[in-house]
Amino acid sequence: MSRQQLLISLPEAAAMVKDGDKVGIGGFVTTNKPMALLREIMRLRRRDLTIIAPPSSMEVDMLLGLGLVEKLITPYLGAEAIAPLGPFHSGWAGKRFAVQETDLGTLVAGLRAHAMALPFIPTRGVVGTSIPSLNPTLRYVEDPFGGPPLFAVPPLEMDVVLLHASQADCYGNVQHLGATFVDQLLAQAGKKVIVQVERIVSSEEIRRHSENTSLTCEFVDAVVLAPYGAHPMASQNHYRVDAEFLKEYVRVAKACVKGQPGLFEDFVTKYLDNPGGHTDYLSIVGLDRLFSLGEGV
Amino acid sequence: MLVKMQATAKETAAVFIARQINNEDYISLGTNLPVTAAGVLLAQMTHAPDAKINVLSYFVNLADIDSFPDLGQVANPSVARWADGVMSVEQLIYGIRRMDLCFAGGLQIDRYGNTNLIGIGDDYNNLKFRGPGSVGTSTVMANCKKFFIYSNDHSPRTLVPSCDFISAYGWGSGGADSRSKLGLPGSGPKYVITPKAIMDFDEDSKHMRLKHLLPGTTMTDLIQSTGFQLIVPEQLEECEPPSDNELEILRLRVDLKGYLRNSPEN
Repeated sequence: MSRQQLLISLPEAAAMVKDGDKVGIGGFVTTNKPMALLREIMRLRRRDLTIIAPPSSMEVDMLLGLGLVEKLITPYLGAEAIAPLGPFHSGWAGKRFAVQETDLGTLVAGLRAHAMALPFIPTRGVVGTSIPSLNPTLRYVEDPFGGPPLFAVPPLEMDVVLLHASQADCYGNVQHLGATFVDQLLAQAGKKVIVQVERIVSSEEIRRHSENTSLTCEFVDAVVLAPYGAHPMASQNHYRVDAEFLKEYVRVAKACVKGQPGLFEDFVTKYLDNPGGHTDYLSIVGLDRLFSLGEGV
Repeated sequence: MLVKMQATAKETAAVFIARQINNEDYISLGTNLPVTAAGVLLAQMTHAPDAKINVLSYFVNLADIDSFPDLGQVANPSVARWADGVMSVEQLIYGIRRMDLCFAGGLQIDRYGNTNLIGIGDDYNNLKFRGPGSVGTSTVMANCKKFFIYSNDHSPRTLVPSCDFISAYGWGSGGADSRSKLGLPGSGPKYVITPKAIMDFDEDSKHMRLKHLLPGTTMTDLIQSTGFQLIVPEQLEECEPPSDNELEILRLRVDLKGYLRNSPEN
């Protein structure tokens, strides 16, 4: 009997995500976002999703703009200096999705609680803030050792977790070769984990530096080859954030907020619906543009 | 030439921040705010070559670099080139108690140093303006040893009597024991820094108090720009201006693009 190979295509991976799923998204703000997987899922218009994401950006904003989100759990939605003051496609006034207000420490506590099968993890992080009054899943808990009360953070479940990393072998051993952000915890807490990578390498290559393996195949259910798959976000070791592309999206999304949805619809048609797949998307963005994003400021 | 130009308010603020930093500090550069980043970098390049700086979960040391390419793009994975190591974000959170200095921003900052990144409005379900969210500020500011609050906007819209929502707790409704009563281990916000002024907090009431006016701002302007009554000490000390050496490093190695010199939006 031979080892199971986990390499599947982007459409096969997207088919693992169902309407109503709780979807975890890896990466951090504008770095290492599983954009190729998300574009595939958005193209299929998977809906009623619960999105669980560490600091997030355009990928979550687009899901909201397309009306695919039922509940959003993220501590941050923005693009730092490119859009410092918050969501761009602010369907927040009269919004049709629920928000479970959180901060990064609270999110990590919920994921950790689920990974460890604990009913809750206590946190002091939100004591005194408005977050407990805005997020009814958090409950006051007495300190059995006599200290001031804390908040109990219940487990955060995810049906499927989508991640982006540098490389993997066909058996699902993944190497980020850099910061892992919250990806390892998401993988420990998720029911199914799909990782898109810049390149597939041999088992020998992985084993040459097995200390670089950030997720062993125990935590991975599927691997997808997606070179430039984080575009327009940055991919560690490979390319920078495409700031001009993000700025264009922010303009489009802000026009949408002001009651001009035409530009957003055009953007969706051009980059989401018209391309026949990932490589088609890359040619629409243009190879010259992609290659110009190589490291170096 | 560059060095002959008088220090701007933002440069003065950055130099103030740099002078608060000790060589042994562990500092988290959580945000993309050029003024705070400039302060930390300047400290590292002058009196704090051993300060541990965390950016995007990389631990970097910038003491000997020629120059920093872009202060507007601090949280960028290419900082890896100066990294001694990297930890997961989860590991960083478990180690927040070690952080000596962190920075918080806010759509609103109130007179007791509470900050709001959640949104503006009375009705949470129908906000007038939705903010970016708390990021890690709730947990970080609860636990880190001390923090500074920075805002590019000093107006009654931002400096408000009370925040509509609190994402990071400062001194609550005031009082030196307000944090210890809740069991919050960190020593809370120490300074509030804007392009108009540097403020601290009264030792007993923890109400915000003017410390220094920054170049270009008059007392009348400051009072009109603040949405509550600041405590103004009888003797107001002038902020010690940047030295030639500090300005030279700031302009030639830290802020090549001039975020602190000419861009009012940064």
